[in-house]
Amino acid sequence: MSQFHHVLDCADLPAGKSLAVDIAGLSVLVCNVNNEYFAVENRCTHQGAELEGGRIRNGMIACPLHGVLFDVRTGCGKGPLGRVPLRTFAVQVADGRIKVSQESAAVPA
Amino acid sequence: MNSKIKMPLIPGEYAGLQPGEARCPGPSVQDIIVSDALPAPEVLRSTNYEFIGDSDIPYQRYTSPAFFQQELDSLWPKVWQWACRLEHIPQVGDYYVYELGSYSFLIVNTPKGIKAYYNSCLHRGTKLRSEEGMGCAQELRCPYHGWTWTLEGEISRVPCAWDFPHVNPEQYRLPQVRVETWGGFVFINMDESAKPLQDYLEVMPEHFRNWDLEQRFIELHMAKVLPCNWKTALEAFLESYHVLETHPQLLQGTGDANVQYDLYGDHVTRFYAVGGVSSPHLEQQLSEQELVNSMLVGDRTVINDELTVQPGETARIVMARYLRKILGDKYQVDLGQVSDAEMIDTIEYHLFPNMVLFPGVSLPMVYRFRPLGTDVERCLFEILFLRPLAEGQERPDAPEVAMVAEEESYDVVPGMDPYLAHVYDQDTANLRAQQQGFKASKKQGETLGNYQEARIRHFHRTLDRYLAGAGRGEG
Repeated sequence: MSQFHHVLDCADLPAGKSLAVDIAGLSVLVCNVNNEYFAVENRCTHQGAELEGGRIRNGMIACPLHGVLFDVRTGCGKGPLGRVPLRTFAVQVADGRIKVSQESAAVPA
Repeated sequence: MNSKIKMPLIPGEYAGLQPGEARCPGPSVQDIIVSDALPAPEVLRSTNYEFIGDSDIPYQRYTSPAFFQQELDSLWPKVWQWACRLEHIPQVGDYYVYELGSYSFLIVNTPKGIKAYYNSCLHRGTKLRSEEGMGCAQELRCPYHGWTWTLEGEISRVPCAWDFPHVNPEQYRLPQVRVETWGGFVFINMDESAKPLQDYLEVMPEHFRNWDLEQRFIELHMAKVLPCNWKTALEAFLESYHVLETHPQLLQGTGDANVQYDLYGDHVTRFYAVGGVSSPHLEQQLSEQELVNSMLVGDRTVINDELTVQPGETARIVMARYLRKILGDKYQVDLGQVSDAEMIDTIEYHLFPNMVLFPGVSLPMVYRFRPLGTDVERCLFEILFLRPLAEGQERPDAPEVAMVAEEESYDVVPGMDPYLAHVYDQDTANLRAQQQGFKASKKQGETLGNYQEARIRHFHRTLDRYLAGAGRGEG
């Protein structure tokens, strides 16, 4: 049974923004895509840069270092530099509180 | 055949007219629109055609690698071409990677305005950004050795700079190409001595002065690979002569053979096809009510029951009034002053070399045709739908491009009307056979209709001017 951590309130995270939170020692990036919330590992799989603050458009975050794009809803990256997908984490929202699972979602085969 | 209008099937001497003078028997566009309730603007009430020849267009222009290379050398580097829209790069740091043939450009929103750079690191040539389309960065950093430029193109970081005493930062600014905007489109030109975009656009700014394409948003953007030369695909959309045989379902509601064709300057041509009338080819002309019923090929999600033609009205008047309300409500804009013609007719402009725009309200598309890489016989066809953006309304993010594979139907694109998708499927179904037919043919070239296919001839005439090196900068 996955443990969910209350990491943020909805009021903390406006649409189009992302915030990094620490969950059991791992930096996880919570993203607001048109007021739906998603969570991915806060670490670009290309060269390990932090994704926090990267521009989010159409559900895709641009890594601030070399611009590699990842879909925060699925973790999938674009192009050869985005070959390895981001780990994603389940999100639950209730009463204006955002909770993120400690375990990453299974990566589809 | 229509028993009322005599239409010969075998060409021959045509009543002593000069080449290019003959027109489809029956009412012209100008005859038809004169009875509209809200009259068409001046720009739609004018015509501009001249006969420019009738010799065949050689097929090798569509199949020859040498000709394709000539285009890469003498056409594409000399023309204003639209790379993206302003809404693709709304914030400082946003960029768009635009590619054609082997050319690749970064169009960047910088603190000092929009700039466009050759997308190649000045160290060892690596593309700074390798994926086409939208992105964002606060600096341009190469993923190979980390050479970095500011958004304004000044070099800011060379790791191990001690090893590069021969690199003078002044000479290592990112090389730029010309950038100008019109109608919400960002155009680039590789030719540093090109005349301004405004001059290149010729009559278009004047024609479009009441059609503000900047105040539109991209509702849908799709791209499909087509198995033909980019010009083969483009030309399928420069004439309506093919409606009779390729889209017979549209004859009930489109004046196809009496479409108006206009030629302007070097870079601009237009066709104007009226809706809400029967094709002159139809034996049995439809009643006004039947015409209304048949016209719902566009946005079928907006149907309701206000479609009864009252005495004294035409299908055109009813349809325009209906769409003003439906589309006005849907996009929260006041269309009360928009003419019947602008609401329902198919008004299509071509801007040389590869842009097609439809400024009308109910069919508001933009097309682009680009060679795919350096493949003579494959191209990318893009369709965008530009919808009215209400005053003060927050602009939605420009969508990512929905890709459609060669063998797929256009209807796989979310939001694409299936009847419209079917029309596009019909168009592109002919293209592979035509492209292959160019090479299978004993005959050396295409024969074009003097009037209905004049835009194709006009396009090739301008193309030849560029290939001869004379198409730009003069006069």
